Amino acid sequence: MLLSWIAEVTEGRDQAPAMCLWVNGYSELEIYPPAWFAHGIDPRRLIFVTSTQPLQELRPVFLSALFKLIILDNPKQCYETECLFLSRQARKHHQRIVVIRNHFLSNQRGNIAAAQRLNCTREDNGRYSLQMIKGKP
Amino acid sequence: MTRRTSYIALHATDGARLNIFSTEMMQWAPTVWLIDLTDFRSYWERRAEQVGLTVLGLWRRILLAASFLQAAHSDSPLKAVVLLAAIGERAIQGLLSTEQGWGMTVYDEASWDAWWQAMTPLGDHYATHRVRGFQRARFAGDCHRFQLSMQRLNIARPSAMRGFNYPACKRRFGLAIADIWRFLFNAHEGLFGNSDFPWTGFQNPEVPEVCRYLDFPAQQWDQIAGLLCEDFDRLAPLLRERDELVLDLEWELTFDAMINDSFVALISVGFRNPHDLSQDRGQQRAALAQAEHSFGSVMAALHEDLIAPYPGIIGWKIAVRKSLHSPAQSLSLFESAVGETAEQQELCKLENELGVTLRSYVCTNDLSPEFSFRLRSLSEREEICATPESLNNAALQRPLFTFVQRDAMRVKSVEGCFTEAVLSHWWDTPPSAGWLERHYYRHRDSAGKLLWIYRQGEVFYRHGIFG
Repeated sequence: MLLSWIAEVTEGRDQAPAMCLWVNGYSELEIYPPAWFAHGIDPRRLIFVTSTQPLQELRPVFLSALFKLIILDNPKQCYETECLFLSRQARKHHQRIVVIRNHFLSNQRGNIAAAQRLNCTREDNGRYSLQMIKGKP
Repeated sequence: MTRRTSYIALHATDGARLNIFSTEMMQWAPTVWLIDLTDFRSYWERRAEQVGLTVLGLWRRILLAASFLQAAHSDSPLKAVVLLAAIGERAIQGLLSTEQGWGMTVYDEASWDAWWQAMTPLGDHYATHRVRGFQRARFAGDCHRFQLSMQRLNIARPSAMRGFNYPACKRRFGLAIADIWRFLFNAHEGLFGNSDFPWTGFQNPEVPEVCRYLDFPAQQWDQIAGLLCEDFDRLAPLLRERDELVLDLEWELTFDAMINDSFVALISVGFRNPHDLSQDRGQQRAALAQAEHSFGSVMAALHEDLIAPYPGIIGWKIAVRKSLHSPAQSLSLFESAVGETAEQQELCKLENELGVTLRSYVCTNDLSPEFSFRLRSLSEREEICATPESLNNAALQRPLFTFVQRDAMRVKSVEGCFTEAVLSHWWDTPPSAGWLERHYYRHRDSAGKLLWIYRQGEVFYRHGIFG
């Protein structure tokens, strides 16, 4: 789902093509670019960076309107204040910021900064299912 | 991935204004200088592309504008000085390169006189570097023996040495002559390369610097950020006067240790792309971001080593360590440039402000996982060719992430399916270099993770992870 979204943004199917940033939060993993580009992503407009603490290390990125889609994959820490900062910047610069976390989200503890929250799980038959926690699908 | 080395040799009396192309320079002989462009090649290729020239064409114009009438370019420093001597011998003007046919012809036709003229300073550089096993007297003897042999063998030009080989040269004429052969005829082979070339970097003694003495000891970044910004602003006109763009600043912090004597800590403030401090006056976002990043790590290390109360900063000195000279004549070349797109300019600016590296990739026409992509410069404007369908199909079967470390793993039986077999570049790597054939599988491990593993011989390794 994310790959086709990135492909859509970088290729500009509905709007003008825009830049995307994928922040890899796994220090033990690195990107294998051909697999990404085989899904139709424009290599010129997808930038990768490895950072486990993106809010500290990539502050100038969030102050700039360059990237229209930013995906934070498994950030080590993302406190409520930081989420609010991201939300404000996203609104200001007309960006989409996606935070992927490697755990299950519940309604017991909400996140006022996020416009949408959803769980993605893999079922026994190998298919993925999405469950919206907050926001419209 | 091997780096494409690039050197220019030219005649100059002083190295102070030679940082036009690179920050790495060496005085080879009293009036011969070498410039190492290896790290700057992609930068110049980008600039050349902007003005619709080849990189050699651009360098030629800049050299002419800076009144360097004879220059030689090659992939090895020694080749460049030999070519420069050959150019001088034939009174040719301009920049010649061994990458081009005409330059290669001049290089191949260099006489022994030009060759020896270029080689003479090598003994001094070996002696300066205290190369292991080097003795000046023995080197002179080896050179004499070599000269006699060439006469006896009736070898008219040094280019005929191409047919020699390293072990034979070493056995017959000694290690130093064998190394000369290697630098001249085998420099591009990754086995040795130019890594042990006796390179003596030139340090310009006159560098712009600014000092600050604080009225109170400071420990926090917030206390010094404003003052540091003022100092970068003070440094900007000094660089502007010299037409220089900064690449590396040395920030020397002086601490008041209260009990012991004061001590200093050196912090490097580096930029990935040549940076113009005067364009960012008043804010200095890029310089401050880099300084803050380095300051944080130095202070953290300091706090680990020392016991509270921690010393305060009582002053500092900022000196330009590496800079690129952009003379007005060469800048005028770019006035009619097509220019980078706004996105590319913003990316380069952003990269200078970050402590981590932004990476852009592009696919290559190769099936082997290691060679199927390459890093792409953020401001590269080259059109990207569509990847062949067969390679795209192969890439679709591969995972989005690979492991930094490929650990061997015990697999009793593969819980998944075979996906592909890949051969290494056996035609351009020695058999001892590593693997020859790999068989790839999708395998679900005991924890339920879908891995991309390969069998090499009898051993399984984990290469990537799906999902």
